[in-house]
Amino acid sequence: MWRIVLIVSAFIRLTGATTFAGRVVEDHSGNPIPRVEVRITRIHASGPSAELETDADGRFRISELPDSEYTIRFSKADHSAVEITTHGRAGMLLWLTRFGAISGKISDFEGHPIANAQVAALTPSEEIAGTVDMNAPSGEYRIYGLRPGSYRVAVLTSGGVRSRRGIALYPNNSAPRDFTVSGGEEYTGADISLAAGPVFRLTARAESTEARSVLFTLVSAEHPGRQLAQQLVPVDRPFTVESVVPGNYELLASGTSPTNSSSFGRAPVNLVAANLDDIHVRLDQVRSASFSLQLREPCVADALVELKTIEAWLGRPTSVTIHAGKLVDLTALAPARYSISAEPSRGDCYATVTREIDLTRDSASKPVEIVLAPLGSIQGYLTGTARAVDYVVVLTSRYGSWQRICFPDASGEFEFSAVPPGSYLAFAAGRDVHWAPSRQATALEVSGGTPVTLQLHPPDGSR
Amino acid sequence: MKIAIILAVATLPLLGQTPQPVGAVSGRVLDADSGGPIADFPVANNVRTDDRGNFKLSGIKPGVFQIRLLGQRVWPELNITTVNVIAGQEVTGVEIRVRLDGEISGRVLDQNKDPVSGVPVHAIGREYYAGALRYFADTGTAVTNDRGEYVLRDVRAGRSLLLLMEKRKVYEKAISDAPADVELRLPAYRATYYPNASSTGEATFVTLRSGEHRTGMDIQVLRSPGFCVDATLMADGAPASLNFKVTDELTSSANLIPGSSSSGPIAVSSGPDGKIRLCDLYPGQFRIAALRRAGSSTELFGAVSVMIGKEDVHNLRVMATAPAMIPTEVVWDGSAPDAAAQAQFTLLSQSVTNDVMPTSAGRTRYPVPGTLSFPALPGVEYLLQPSLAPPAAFPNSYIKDITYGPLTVLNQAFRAAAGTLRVSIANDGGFVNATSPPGAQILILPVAVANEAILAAAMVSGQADSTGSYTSRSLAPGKYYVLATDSLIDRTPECIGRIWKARTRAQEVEIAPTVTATVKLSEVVSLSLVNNR
Repeated sequence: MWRIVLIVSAFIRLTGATTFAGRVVEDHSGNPIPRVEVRITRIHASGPSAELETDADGRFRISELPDSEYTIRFSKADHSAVEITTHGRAGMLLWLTRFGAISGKISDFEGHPIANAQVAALTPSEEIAGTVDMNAPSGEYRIYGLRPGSYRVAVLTSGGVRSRRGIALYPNNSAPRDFTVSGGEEYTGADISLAAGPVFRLTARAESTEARSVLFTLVSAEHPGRQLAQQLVPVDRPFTVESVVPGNYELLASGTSPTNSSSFGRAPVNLVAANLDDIHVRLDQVRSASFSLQLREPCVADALVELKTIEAWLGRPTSVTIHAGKLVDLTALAPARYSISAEPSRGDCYATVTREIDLTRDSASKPVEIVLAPLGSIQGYLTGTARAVDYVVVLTSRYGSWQRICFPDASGEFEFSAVPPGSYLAFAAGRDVHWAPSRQATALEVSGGTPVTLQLHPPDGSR
Repeated sequence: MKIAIILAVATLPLLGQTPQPVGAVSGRVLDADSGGPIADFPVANNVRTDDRGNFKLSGIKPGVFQIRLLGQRVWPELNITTVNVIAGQEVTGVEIRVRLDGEISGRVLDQNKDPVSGVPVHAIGREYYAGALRYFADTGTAVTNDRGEYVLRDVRAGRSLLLLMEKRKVYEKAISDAPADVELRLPAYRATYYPNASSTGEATFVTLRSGEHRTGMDIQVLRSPGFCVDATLMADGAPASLNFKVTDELTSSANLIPGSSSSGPIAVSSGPDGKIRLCDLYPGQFRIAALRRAGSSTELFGAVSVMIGKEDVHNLRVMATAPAMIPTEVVWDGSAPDAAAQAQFTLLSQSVTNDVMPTSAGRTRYPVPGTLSFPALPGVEYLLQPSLAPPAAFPNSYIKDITYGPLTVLNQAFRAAAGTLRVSIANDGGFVNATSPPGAQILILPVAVANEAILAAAMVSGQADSTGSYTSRSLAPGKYYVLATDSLIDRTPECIGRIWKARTRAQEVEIAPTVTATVKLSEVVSLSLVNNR
């Protein structure tokens, strides 16, 4: 798992005209990071009061800003961002996490380099992370921009005459390697040889009384977001794919009828050691889901909800506008996994919603609830220490990689204001401590509107 | 290796439908720089050279046959070799000289030698175009990775190129929130040429040999304080909500690649008060355009140039107006030819600058004499391309002049002002018939041209066939230099400069009205051996 590493040492609270000064270093090496962009924005102001860059030694300094509370954002390409809300401080030491990289070479089974293959790092939830590399004529690739997390390297498509339908993982599909990035990793030599091995043919037919034509899509069961083959055929004609490597697949089919109504079907395919020539997909699998909208004071708006298939079904996302107090049904949905996003129609509110629903087997049993809420806040106190000012409190987004930092006062009280509704991890960090939030952080949900109360303890053995 | 696109086109199809005897063509593909053979090079569909560069094309209809190379290993400009195929015979010894594309790689570093990631590096070429020397993005763009490294692939060899790091000027909002005090802003990244120059004049050119991979081409980016410009966008004399676009007039981003249809991104629009504030600008000259699009055409447009020195620029006004309709007359020079009633005149106008959408091509056909009008945006340069059809009816026609007010805009860029555009078409053109060694490039250069830019636009070139014969299109009567060369011709200042110098080794001919002047060229001039400058 990834860890956030942060050291805040010798923070000095200054009074009068405000000064910010400090140094930014790499979390994994301690080396200074030059050219970090530092944006200093007065709290509740729309634009920054000052922008500066760290020098070759990672240092920054700005003085004579009007006395106020400020939000300072530290960012640099290929590094995690950190945000601190504080009054003037000197002697800050900030640790940014550098994103990771994986490089290697792609060759065919005879060792010849394969150019123009599409190589990507996949997250455990099958999303593409970092850069996608169309590799060089020499077969070399390099994926970078990998945030802390766990990745597998996959060749998604390999063009040319030797193309085979299937996703090839490093070093092989039966025992793929998980690359862990916690900060600054530079993995080399992840060479992928696209094995020879047998390939087979799939032939499928749709069964439908209404559809005139059927769009077939073949996806692998492990990576359903990547289509391996797609073809539109008349309903009485078969869908055929050649050169498929053995493995588990899903065949997705959507039919179009003269009345423009849609019908869907899907079938699992287990390709072992022979051609499969008699797959039948019945286009009788239609799903529905209903949605409701809840408003938190002072939000008054409708919400635009968008459903996107996680699998590579063809088609535009389905979207619908939802009004408060009224159930809206979406019918004629494909039997797919969906990611859901929602946006308020207007205003400064945020929509929160379950990220994913699975309608592969059945329609949704209960309505999907969307909540529109204003920015939230966290009010907390640090207990169990007499010297709360020696600590900082770190808030990190659960699914992203930015951090916000604030400073408890002498009584241990602290506050994060203007927090978008969502899931977070929070923890207290002391001086010279490396932190593993998976063990020591507190998970919390910010729902917007009413402040969330949080009680934190200083880390064990940190002082 | 990528698959090359090869077109083998037989022209002058034979009359008659009966099966014809066929001929063959064989020869070698050679490296234009080293003279060595190029193996495994695609010459036609399913025909590649062997290890010694040899190829053979068989089953070809007799007549004029063209081998056209348009491939990925050579910059895709037509490389045409014309051969006269004779039934039952093999034309041997055809030599095709090509320059293979190369590669340029390096890093972009800041003042502390720290790598700069995520910035684009462009290969910039220079060419005479529309009467001036202009800079173009030549071979695509590479973006630096997290280690500041870039690789430009498929780079054209044999040309002087500049390497330019230029951040795209795309603004996310109309009013930048950068601090008011310059001292409190982030420094800007200046457009920087290899190795660390702020202008083309101080930059170092790089010329690749055929197939060369040049490494270590590190660019050290220049920084400067980030300056802001605040402006009001106006239409019909009042502030208006308009799109806007900023281009660095001193870099290639100001010019459109000839023949391309892209005009780059436009940013968000201003509010109804027309106010914009653009920051991150560095010392130099910028063009701020205000525009409104309707579908694929530009409804309103206006642009101003602004110099950035050592401070912000305030209270700029950018007035956008509708395109002006340019009244145009097309006339015969002298008396009208017999076929005048068949005349179909067209006028294409292609914008040269990068901040407007290309104008929709005026494909409408007009009679001659006749009048027409076409839209032109204020402050935008256009290349006018008049033509007369059908060619068979007017074999002696040529565009004699295009005037706009008192000035000629023939072979030059056109800019809308006041006045009527007048295109005069003459019908007394003559021809040059040149005899030279087979396959030579023939150049026909008007004697009376003022400078290299006009020469590049006015010169006529073609290739002698395998019997060593070439006949030009219809040319204005007058004096010409005629020259045979074995070099590839382009419109770079290097090539045009050598042609300019080589005029002393050309033969001078005078074309009389409607007469074909013949010229024998025994010498084939190698332009690469002409001392440039």
